[in-house]
Amino acid sequence: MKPVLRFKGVLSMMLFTIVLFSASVYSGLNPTRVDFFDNANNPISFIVFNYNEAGALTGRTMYMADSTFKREVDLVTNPTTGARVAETSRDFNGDTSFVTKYESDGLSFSIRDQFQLDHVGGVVNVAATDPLNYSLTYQVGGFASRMKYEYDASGNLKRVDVFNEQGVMEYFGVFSSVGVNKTVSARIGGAPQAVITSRGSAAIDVRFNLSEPGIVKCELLTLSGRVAGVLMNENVPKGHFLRSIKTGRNIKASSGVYLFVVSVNGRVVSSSRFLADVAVKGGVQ
Amino acid sequence: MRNVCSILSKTVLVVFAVYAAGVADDFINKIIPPAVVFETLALNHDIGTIKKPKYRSPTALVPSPDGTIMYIAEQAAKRICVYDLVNKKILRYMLLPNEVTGIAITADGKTLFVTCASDLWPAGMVCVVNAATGAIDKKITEKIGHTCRAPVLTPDGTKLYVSNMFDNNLSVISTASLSVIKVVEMIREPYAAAVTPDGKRLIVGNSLPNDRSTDSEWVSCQITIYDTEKDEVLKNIRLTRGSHSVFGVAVSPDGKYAFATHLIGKFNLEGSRVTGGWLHTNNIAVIDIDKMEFVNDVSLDFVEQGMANPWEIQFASKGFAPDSAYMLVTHAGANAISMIRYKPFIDTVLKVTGTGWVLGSANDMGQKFNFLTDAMRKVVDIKSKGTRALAVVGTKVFTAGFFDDENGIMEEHAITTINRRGGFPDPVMHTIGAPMKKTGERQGEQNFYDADLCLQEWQSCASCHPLTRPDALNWILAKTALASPKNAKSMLYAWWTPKTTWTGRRPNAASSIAAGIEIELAIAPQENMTVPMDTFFMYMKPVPSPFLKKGRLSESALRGRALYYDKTKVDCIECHAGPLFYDDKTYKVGVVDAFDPSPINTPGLTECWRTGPYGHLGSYYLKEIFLIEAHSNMKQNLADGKLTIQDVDDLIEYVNCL
Repeated sequence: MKPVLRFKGVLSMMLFTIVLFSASVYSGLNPTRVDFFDNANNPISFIVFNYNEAGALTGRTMYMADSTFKREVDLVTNPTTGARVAETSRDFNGDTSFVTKYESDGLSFSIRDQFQLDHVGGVVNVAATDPLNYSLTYQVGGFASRMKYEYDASGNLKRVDVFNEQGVMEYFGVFSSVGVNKTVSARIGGAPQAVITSRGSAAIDVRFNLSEPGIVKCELLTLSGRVAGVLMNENVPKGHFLRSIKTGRNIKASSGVYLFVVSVNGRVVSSSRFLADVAVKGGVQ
Repeated sequence: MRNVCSILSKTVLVVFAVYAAGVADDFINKIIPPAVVFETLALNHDIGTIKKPKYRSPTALVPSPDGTIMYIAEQAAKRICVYDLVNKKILRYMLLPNEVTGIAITADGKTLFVTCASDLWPAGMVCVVNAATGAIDKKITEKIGHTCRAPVLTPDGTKLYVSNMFDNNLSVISTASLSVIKVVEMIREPYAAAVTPDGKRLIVGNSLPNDRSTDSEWVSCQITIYDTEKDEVLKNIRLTRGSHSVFGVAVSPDGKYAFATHLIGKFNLEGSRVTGGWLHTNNIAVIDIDKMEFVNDVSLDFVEQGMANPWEIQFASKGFAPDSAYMLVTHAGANAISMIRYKPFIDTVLKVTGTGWVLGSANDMGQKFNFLTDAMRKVVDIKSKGTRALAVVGTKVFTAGFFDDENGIMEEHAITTINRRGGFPDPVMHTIGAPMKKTGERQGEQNFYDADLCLQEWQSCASCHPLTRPDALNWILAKTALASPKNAKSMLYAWWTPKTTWTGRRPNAASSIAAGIEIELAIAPQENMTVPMDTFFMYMKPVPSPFLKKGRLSESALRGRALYYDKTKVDCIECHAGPLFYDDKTYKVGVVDAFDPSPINTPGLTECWRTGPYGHLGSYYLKEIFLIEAHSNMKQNLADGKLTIQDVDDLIEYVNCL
């Protein structure tokens, strides 16, 4: 074969690979959760992924297989590069339980608890043997884990297998993905708790995806059901939505615990408790 | 030109291949990089790590009915090892979704009922396992409680009883429907249970007292006699004053008597020595089942040797002549097994008891060390550390050390009382796992439970601090003029909340560990003892509270939390500020104490739900201590109408969730 043709052949093969690779990697939907099992298919735990309105991952929530809450994990990313820098895990009370710190390669990591105690054995180096296979070793030496990811035919993340040093698959995770996140979630002041003490300029961030335009109403109700304040009531277009609601002016109520209720077209889609604290400046007046 | 293109083609190919091989998938890295998978599984102790290897920690041994298989509950490894006793080899492992706390096997040997729960995931479940395949046919989770354990099958196989340790109740399961048909309240931390041969009575050992420590006339744990036909509690029987840590229960082969291993804490004596059982004796309580009465308490100790931390107890009768049955007891602290000939034992107990036991009298066997003669009892030293579990197969007894990581063995001993100690055939050693190296933390945990660190093996640290928490008694330990009773403390977060002791007289946990070894174990503390224990203490984590609802605060607790942080309502956070809920200061908080006027170092509140009674004397229940006027403004605010009764209940609910 003529060299030029051979070169063109190589380029074509590369292009094909790139397209194939890109198609299999980048056309997928954001997974909503991953369920972990041992190799006897016993369900162990699952993670629910949390995304912002732009579809970027902001954190995750970990549960045991029976839906017992374990921890809320918030991501800390480099504002310039977007690379993962650290993750902070918080318990049911909002207190830090673990911190995972990433090395400069964005993959290798260490895990310490709130007392800075190492819980794995120092830094774990992560190396990709190919885009779907990863080898984890301890920086001090020794095997940590090996993982293999898999996409489905639609380009969605499908599965991750976790192997021991002998190459036996010990655990696996199965991903779930949906097209539009129809769950309306109310995050209050950035903290995971449904009830918090408002600090400073009290605000409630409301974010969700709408599959079609609708009337979105956010109200504060007393625990007995009386409307204490209407924070928002307007037509919202389809798609991602984020509104940061200042609580101070809009609420004519005393300090106490209220229900923050979000409804779409008259149907309640989410409610959580909100603590209004008049003692703190910027809180409910 | 040809060569240039050829070289260029190859170069591009090579570069691309290298690039493709080395580049991690960007999408995976953004969403779920390997670190996330590793963290999820490692922090749940599914994957072993350098810091937290998956040790075996055998906690139960259950033989198949035909005696050919031993099912070994490897608690921390979350699996059951199926071991062939005949061919002496591991057949396979059965994986469970959580730590294995107990196993019961049906009479036909076909089904295992396995209780699973852990400190990380305490929601209990009972797995119904096919013994032949290891497949879990069903998981019972509904109405199975916090830290379930001790599954007991009735002899007819129709009911299974499961103790929910930190829910303080018992689940009654129908084996026909494989569902819980009733939940029955127990006293406190039911840990072990046994059923009579006729199946009519279940005996449950509640491991901790549920009294004020200052109720010194009767403070003790209790044994529950339960009617399995009516499914109701018949009676709760108190053990000897100072009894705690019931970790094993058995019923005699004739069904007449129940036996409970436990410790007797001599809390009313100043802790000036440990020998002679001065601080703790290690005992078996004898209960008359038909009369539902406490008969007597027998010390398992010798005059010059303690048999620390009796744990599991079982009978061996098959394969022995009539009236030649044995009672076998593991001593987890002393790392030994007592083999006791039952007939002379019970005859002696009944003879000495006479017309009725009286505490401290000549017929009280609890504090005397001469009843178990050499002819009646043999002690077998066990090589592996932490001898808790035992199983009887014919005329043999098996045990595997909870901390036996380096050896990975199960020991098989012939049941006999020939010779008191030593001079008997070597045990048969069965290899049940590969050797594993101990981390510092693991070594520290072993040290905590090891009475080899105590003069004459009378007790271990776990004697006053069972499972590293309090024994619900108060003790006079300080060798000072102001020595006065102080409530036993939890070891949780002791490292991170200096100073230690109620009055804060020790600067930190390290000094308390060293002092404890020196004073309460009566030996000179060495670094190989103290340093690993320091590490063990550092890493200790709380068990999630049974008051949490699926791991989250309940509605009442949420209201309570709001109040807790509302300084206009209550002043809790002035001293008990999160996240450890303490401030390393001392205060006079109004706890009535006739002996010691010292101000008290603020205790942390984590795991309040399990560390009662409260106050430095152990003289209060939780709500009471909330309302001491010198302790907080709660009582005044209640009187002034700033707080309601519901508010106080909500606050208690929140504190109980910590």
